[in-house]
Amino acid sequence: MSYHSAQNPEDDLPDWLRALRKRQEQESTDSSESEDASGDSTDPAEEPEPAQDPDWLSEIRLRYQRGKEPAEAAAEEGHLDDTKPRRLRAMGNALAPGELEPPADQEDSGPARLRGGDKSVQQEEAQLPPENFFEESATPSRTPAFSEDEPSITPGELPGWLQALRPGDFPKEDSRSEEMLPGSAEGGPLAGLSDVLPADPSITQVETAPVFSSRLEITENQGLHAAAFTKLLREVEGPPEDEARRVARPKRVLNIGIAAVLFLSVLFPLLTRSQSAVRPDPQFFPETTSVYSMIDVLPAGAPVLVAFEVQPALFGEMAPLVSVVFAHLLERQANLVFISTRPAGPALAERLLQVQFAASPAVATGTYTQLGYLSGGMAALRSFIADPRSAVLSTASVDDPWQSPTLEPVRQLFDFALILVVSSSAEDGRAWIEQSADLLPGGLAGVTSAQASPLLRVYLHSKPQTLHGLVSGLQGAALYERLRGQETGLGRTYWDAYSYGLGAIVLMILLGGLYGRLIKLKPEKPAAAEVQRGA
Amino acid sequence: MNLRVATPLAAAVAVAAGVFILVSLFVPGLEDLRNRILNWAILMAALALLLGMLNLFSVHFEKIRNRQQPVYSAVLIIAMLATFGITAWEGSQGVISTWIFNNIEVPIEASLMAVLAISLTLAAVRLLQNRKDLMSIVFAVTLFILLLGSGPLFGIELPFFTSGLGPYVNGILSTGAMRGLLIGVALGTMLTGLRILIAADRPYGG
Repeated sequence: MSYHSAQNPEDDLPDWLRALRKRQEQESTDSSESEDASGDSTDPAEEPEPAQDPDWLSEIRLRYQRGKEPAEAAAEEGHLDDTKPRRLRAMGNALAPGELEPPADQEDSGPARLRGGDKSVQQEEAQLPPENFFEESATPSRTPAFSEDEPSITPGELPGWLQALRPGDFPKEDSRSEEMLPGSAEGGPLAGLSDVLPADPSITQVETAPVFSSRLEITENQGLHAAAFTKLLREVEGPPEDEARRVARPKRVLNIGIAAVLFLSVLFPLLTRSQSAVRPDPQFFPETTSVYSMIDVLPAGAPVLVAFEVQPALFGEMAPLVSVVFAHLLERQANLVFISTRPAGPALAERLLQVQFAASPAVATGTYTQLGYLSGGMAALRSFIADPRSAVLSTASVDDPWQSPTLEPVRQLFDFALILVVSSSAEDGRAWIEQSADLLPGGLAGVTSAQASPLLRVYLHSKPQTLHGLVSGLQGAALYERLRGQETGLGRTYWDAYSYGLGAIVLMILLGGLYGRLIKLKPEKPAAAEVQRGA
Repeated sequence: MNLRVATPLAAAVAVAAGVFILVSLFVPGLEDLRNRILNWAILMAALALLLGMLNLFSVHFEKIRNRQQPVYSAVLIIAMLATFGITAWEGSQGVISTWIFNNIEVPIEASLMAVLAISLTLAAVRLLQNRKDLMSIVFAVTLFILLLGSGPLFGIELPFFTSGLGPYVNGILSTGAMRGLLIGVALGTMLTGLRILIAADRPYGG
């Protein structure tokens, strides 16, 4: 390797570098001589013919080499140059005659290896120096290679001004996939050429999808932390659904069991028409006897005001109670006048009359009177009690009910022979009693549900007495039927069912109390607490 | 009329009406005027039913618009409008309105009461499991006595309860407790009326 320069750069080299170069040149010369002596197969002139070539082919090959003109040889060389890889062409261009001489071994073996086929080209390319080696080396430099004035540039370090000109950091690695990278064809007519599209795209290659393991490998400590975190989340989220179901299942079974026992205990006497239960004794319920006495002394055609304050929900309990009292009133040929401060009251009274007493002459002929719904609550009730005829009523009939023959003699509330408050709730009965206390010296009679009885019973013992009689609950219905000597009726029919249902309820409460208080087999709260903790 | 003017006026009307009704109960000769004012109250109460129905309609209509359980609200509105229309057309004693009342409203409310009976029985059964203090035991014993005294069990009468202990609890203990309760209710009612009369409470707004 020699450099053409104005002054010999060897003079500027240090002594140790000149000694090193001399030793390298000596070794290079020795290796060239040894290769020439051994008859290296890389020499194209002495390249042995393939053994399998026939004689006629060898003669043609020899004649061709002899008769080849220099121009043709140059053209052939150029043709062969076309088949060279780009790097080789670049290398050849860089090696200008007289400026840079390639190593002797590479110069000799180049054309022969190009003709030798694909493998030789690839091997040669693999042995080539880096791509920019010759470019850097062959740069025509008229300046000395080494200068004391300028600082030396170490590989990989750029000067500051060049670093500032760079637009940005270039990727150190090419992020493109291998398929997109320019490569050389490995086979076919384009073998050895670079930057060619692959003839066999990888998309046509069917390969089995790689299997990756999804198993998470963690340490024992990480596993303990994960378990603790899972437990914490479970506590925050509450009990699991299956745990909640497991706890709720006995409660649901208990609900269904209690409902079934109640239904069976109530239905059994109804289906068997049992009348074994003893009806209440009248001596223990004087208030019911009072109502019976008040109705029993009514003259025929006496106007009786019935305040029908019944809710549909309690109509089942009130029906046998009201039926027996109405039966007594109709038997006494009383003129019934209905009013209600509840919107559903008139409709329920009409239903009771049409279902239970459709055969009664008073109901069949329509001699009873419906005053309808009295809106306004307690204020309206006070107005009605003070002046019944001036009260605004919501009646179903367009005719004025006060013009009917039944109500013609009634001017004030005390003109009614009896005021009967039929109330399913204590508040409605209390309103009637309290608002009419100063205007009705004769007082009222009450027919109420069992739940309203304790509150209204207070007015039975007040002075002056505002409530003169009270029939309450199914017990009162059965007692009233007994007073009337009636062996059949809703009160009597329901009384046995009531008795059996009451017995079942008492038995279940007793067993439930023993289970929870004495036996303590499985208290509910600890189990629920465990579920709350998510255990 | 803005709210600043309306609020004192409404309070003045309410206080005046309340004072007049109270005074008319003690002063003779004011009965007719009092009844006339009370009839106004009856008419306004009837009108309040219609307003309540309109309010119910608007609330559930908004629920349908906001997709808050719209199916239930739609069923309610359709049933309400259908019942109102039919009853207004043929009257409360009409065939269809009577059928709706007897076959839909009454059975539904009776069914709810039947479920309540089962729920109360279940609560009584589990009473001593959930609460084990003294008052719960007293409550359970009282309930037990009243149930035993309210009728024969399985057709068998227990005279000690039905003729002795049951009537005593019902007539003495229960009545005494209810009287105390009624006295408390009366005092509360008086206090509420007094606060309204002096306009300390304004349930009508303001």
